[in-house]
Amino acid sequence: MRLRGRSGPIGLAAAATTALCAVSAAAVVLSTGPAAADSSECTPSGCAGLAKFVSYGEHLWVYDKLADGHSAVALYWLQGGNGPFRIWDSNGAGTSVDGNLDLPEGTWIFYQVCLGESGTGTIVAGTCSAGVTDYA
Amino acid sequence: MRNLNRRTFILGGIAAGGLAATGTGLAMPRGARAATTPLPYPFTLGVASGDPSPDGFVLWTRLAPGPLAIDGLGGMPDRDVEVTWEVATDEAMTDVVASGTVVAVQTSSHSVHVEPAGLAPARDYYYRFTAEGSQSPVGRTRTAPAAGTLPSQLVFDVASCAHFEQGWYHAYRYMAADRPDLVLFLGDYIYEKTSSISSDVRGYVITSEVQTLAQYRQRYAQHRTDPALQAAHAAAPWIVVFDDHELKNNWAGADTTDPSPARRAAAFQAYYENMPLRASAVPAGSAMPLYRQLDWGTLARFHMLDTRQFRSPQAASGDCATIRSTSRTLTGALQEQWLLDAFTDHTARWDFLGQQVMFAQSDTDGSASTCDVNTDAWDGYTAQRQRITQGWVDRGVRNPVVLTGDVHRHWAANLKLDYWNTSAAPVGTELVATSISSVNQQADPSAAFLAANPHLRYVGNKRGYVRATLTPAQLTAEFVTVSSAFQSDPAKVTSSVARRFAVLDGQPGLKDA
Repeated sequence: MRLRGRSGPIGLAAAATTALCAVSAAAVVLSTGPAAADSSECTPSGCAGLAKFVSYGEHLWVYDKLADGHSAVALYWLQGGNGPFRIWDSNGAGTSVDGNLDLPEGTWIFYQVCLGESGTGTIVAGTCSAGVTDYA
Repeated sequence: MRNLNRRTFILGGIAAGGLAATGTGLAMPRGARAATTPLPYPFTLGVASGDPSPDGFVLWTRLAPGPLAIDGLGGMPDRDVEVTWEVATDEAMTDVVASGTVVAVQTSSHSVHVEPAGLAPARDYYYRFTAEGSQSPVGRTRTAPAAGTLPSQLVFDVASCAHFEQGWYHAYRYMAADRPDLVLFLGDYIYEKTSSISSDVRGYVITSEVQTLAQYRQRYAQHRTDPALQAAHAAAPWIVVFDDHELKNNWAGADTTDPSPARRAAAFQAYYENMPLRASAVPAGSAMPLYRQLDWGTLARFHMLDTRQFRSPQAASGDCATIRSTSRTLTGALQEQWLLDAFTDHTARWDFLGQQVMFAQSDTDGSASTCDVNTDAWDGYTAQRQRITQGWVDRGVRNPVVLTGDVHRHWAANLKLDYWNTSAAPVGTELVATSISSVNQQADPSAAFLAANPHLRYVGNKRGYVRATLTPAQLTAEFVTVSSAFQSDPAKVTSSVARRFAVLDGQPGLKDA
């Protein structure tokens, strides 16, 4: 599968990280946690949409894998209580979109992949994956 | 450093099998030794404390390295995890005066409740947790004054109704900045509802109505990811009670089939797991022992009520016969008697009823014959309201004040034995805290409505909370509002005191201040 070139930063991600500054008490990690591993999620029933998070550089890729008349979309939430932000792949079957995020090191991201209509922003009911947590 | 371990009670969770004392040899945590996968940072839901007594409080955290996991288990592996807790006299945690270890277990969604005891009264303490190399934020808490002493002042915030999707939690941020002695949270901490309105500023992961234990757990976790909420919990001990949305909209306990016992048990377990509640509140299936009293020396007694589990089903608006029935109850007979007995004692200068729904009459057309009222509130249970009001009058309660949430508006009210007698003197006072973030889409009260209810002295429809400053001589209530709950940027949001009232010792009712 050919990946499309990197897109610009996702604007909403910058807004999301602002909220992190509101935490008054600093948390401390005494030892390094597990190395962040890449992860992926498929839409149910045939993987018409796929999302994949690459911890190095914090990329959330969205793939439209079937010519089913729907776009693939990744919904993601970030540490700090914000979401869902959306990354649409509305370029048709066989394409992908790179969501190049800017997340603080060690913070979590929770994402799902769904099918939808990018024009209206509508998510097709019952097409979302359960979701997975990964780390920047 | 005093070693208080032997006096410290712990409860790892509901399935931990009751109370155990530290230092007596904990069993090896299940799976802990065999585990090889390091735990990602687990304190994503923050820390909390609650229910202060003169010698302690309850400390809370919940391990959740993946807080939004759809199974409600916070991304935790299926193994036990040892959690160390420390209490210190300083924020830098250099003077640790109590510490211990508990085991967080999956059957309690790795929540931790610790009840240190033997601490000094009327002072600040700081606390933190450590688990598998990660350290939590430091929280501030406070012990209550010693029994029989009269402190010179108590500052507490009153809050309710914090829909996660409907607004940003700026009000929580300002509560944290207050660093009050106490926070009273009067219900609707989460919302069980389906994702809904177009003005939502953020979204739930589970967009349908939550009904199972996994779903309730997940929803609490999503609320608790908010940094302003975490800061408010870390700033002061909370005293919490639930209202309806922690389970289901407008539920009434006497309807034993809806919500089902299984759903009640799930909601109560998740509530306990996510609140700084003592072991005395651990639910037993579909019942949860929640109503209780807490003393702040002889200055204040807080009667924290449960107006959901024991209430008769709501009457239809306009059904005067049902609304006025003397057999209907909002609290149940046992809780009512418990409250009246406490009125008999009235050992404190000020008696606060911390509860959920509006106490003062709020009659739409001002006519006694139509009963066009909100029947989910005390207006739907008028005979019991009359018994309780008469109860505190007959027993000589010196300063009765009702604290309320639920309605997403600030209200200040003079309480009366007969609301239709506009010249009658007040016999109590009610302060209703608006919502933290939940919207109010109803039209503002009309001039005719306010004229028909002259005991309602103030109404405000902005998000915020009530800040109360209590001395032996006076209660000062500040109705705090934030400029916007839709603006995400904290730098663009301000808070202000929309209205200030005083209640003077021995003089029920509101005075401008």
